[in-house]
Amino acid sequence: MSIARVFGCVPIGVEGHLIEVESHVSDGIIAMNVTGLADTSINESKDRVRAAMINSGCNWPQRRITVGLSPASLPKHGSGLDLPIAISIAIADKQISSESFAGTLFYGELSLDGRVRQVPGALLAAVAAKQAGCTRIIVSFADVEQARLVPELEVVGVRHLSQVLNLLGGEFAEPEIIEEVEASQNEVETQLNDFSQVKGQEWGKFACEVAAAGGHHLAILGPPGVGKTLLAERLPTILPLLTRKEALEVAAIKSAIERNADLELIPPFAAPHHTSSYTSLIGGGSGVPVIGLITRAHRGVLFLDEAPEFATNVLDALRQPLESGKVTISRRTFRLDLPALFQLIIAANPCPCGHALDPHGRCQCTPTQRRRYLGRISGPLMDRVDIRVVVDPPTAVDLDYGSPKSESSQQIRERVIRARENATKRLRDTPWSKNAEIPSSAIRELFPLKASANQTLNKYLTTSRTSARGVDRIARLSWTIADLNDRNEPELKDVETAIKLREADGRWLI
Amino acid sequence: MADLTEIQSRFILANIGEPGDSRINKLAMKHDWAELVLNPKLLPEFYQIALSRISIAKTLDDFNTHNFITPQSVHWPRGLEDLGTLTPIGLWFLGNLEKLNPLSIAIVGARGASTYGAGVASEIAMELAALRINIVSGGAFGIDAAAHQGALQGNGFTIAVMAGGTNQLYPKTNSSLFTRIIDSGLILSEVPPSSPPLRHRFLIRNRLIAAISQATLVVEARIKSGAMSTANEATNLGRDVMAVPGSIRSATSSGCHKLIRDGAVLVSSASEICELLIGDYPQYS
Repeated sequence: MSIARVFGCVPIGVEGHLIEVESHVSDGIIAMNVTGLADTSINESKDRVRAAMINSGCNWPQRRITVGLSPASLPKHGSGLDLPIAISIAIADKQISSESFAGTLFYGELSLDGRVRQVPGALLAAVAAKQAGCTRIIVSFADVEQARLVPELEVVGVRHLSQVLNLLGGEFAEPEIIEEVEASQNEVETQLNDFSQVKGQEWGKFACEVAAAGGHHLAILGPPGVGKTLLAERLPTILPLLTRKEALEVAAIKSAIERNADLELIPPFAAPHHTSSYTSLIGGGSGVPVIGLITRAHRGVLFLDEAPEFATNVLDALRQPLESGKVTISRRTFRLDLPALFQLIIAANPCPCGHALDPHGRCQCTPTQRRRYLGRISGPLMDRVDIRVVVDPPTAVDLDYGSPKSESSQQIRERVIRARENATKRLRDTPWSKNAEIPSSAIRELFPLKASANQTLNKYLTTSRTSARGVDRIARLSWTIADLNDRNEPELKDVETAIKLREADGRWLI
Repeated sequence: MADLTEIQSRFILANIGEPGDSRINKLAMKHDWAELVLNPKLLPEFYQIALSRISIAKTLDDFNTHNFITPQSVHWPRGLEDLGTLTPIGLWFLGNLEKLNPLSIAIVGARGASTYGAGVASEIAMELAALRINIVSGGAFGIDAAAHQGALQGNGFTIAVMAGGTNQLYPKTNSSLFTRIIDSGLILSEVPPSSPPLRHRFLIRNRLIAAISQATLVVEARIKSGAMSTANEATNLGRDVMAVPGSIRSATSSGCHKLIRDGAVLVSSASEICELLIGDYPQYS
């Protein structure tokens, strides 16, 4: 019987799904058919596999070849199945023996000359292999490092199809391979972001520090060119480094999208442009579900610059992930959960012309225009943002080169880590680990404020026209500020600072 | 026809005229109000044409002393008399005219306010309203709305003077606020109920806010804003003008700073305003 069965993998969302690739070579009209909901990229693989096999010294069976991909009901895509399809045909055609590939998952794209190419999702394939009980994964040489992130799995990197066939007991001539130079891998010396590069903006930096310490979402209002982006880009540099488990999650997402995925301990930072479509940002779309940019910000920071310019449906779609830490994509045949646990930073100009905060009256917008502009960020979204800050242009004193250097990100990060430790200690018997995660229902009950602080908060509630939820957010912020100052509970001044942070020191425009 | 009362005559003239026209008041000094309506030749040409287009009897169908007052009424805000010939011919109202207190303060400011300004406006309005001082303002969002909300929170009496008619309360965003004001406060308007809030009517309306009140407080305003015109009207009427300071870097306070430079009194609390208004700060009773 000329049937062969090997394992491959297709990535869907941020998970690899184990695929059984079966090949049957039989008499009949000469043809090759692929069954099992394969999309175009897989159907094209017929021609790639044929050319690659011929150029690796294999015979292309002049018979009828049927390739079955199961589970048959799962829609499949991607070129990572090239390699398992080629191997299964070679086995079915009895060009290599079937004994040496047990427990092996194959993942790689074939070039026409037989080289094995890198494909996105190698890390996901390795995870899927491990979960399915495979002991070995064979991937492109370039993907080895990525696949090795999965422990207790033998990773074999190959450059050419003939190499794989030889590993499995074949005897084929291995051509000498000239290293491909990947343009994208050119090491560009990038200047690392650091808070010491930000002159002035002390209040903005403090807001970032509190945001980092408590995991609070942040909104920045200010005229163009004042340093809103500068601050936002540097938030990841003061966040605690990712744990190995978190870093693996991040690497898996990266692996599903691009070819290179290394273990990065600095939290990711995603800054979509305001013209981004719903699908590119949130994920989903027709056909194979796309991974949205908010998933790329998982465990890191999502920065929406010029937030009022984003489409309203995009901004409103952020509410679910902000609440649940994931985005659910539902289709007729399947449901997909993509992780999207991120810290949100919103930046906005105060009005269409950008100068509404200028005390010399440069702004020419009407009050209604100003109101509409900020009103595009919906109330329910703004409500989830704990900290608001207005940043001013730096003064001449701030920009003076002789002025002392600002604090470095490292120094700030140490305080942030210390605050997180304090919070973790306090929250050890609860399901939460950061202050921002404590729900409104619990904050006042489990963590009451002392009388003087409570009084200030109640007075604020009566005079400021804030909702009760807004007051809970201030309570949470107060705890974060207390954590940053190594206090056991918030003092009156911590609550006052929290009110300032929530209200942008009274400067947020209404 | 010959038995038109003064209030009915004023009603008809108020229905056809545009506010801020001093000619009718000037003519009324020489003639009877009823005479002006019945003998249109006395009136300026614009009024003659307008009068010829309407039916006096039909117009009077809408007349109702429950929504229209004139200077003859005991409830007429006496401060309006200082406007001289610019005194409104009559005012449409919604709400509780009889609950009007003798002391009033205008709390005005920009629509584009900051959270600081809105908070201050609410807080001051709440404290002053609790002392039985009427809060007078427009109906716009921003400082106006914050002042009314504060006054309502302090269980006080608040007056919204509208630029449009009482059936055209503007802006619609504040409609729930207007409902609450009608419930326990007062809404005044110088134009017939269905008149739209046209741009020029806001500026003309500002003189009423300034005149009804013994003093005008500007909480937050840009240099170019309607609140500055209210402050100007108050100065012209010889009323006190007060302003709340802000940060010199705050655009929303730039108008207040200009007022203070020009002689307005800087105030930072409700008690300071009270001292200026009545020379004393009474304790809460």
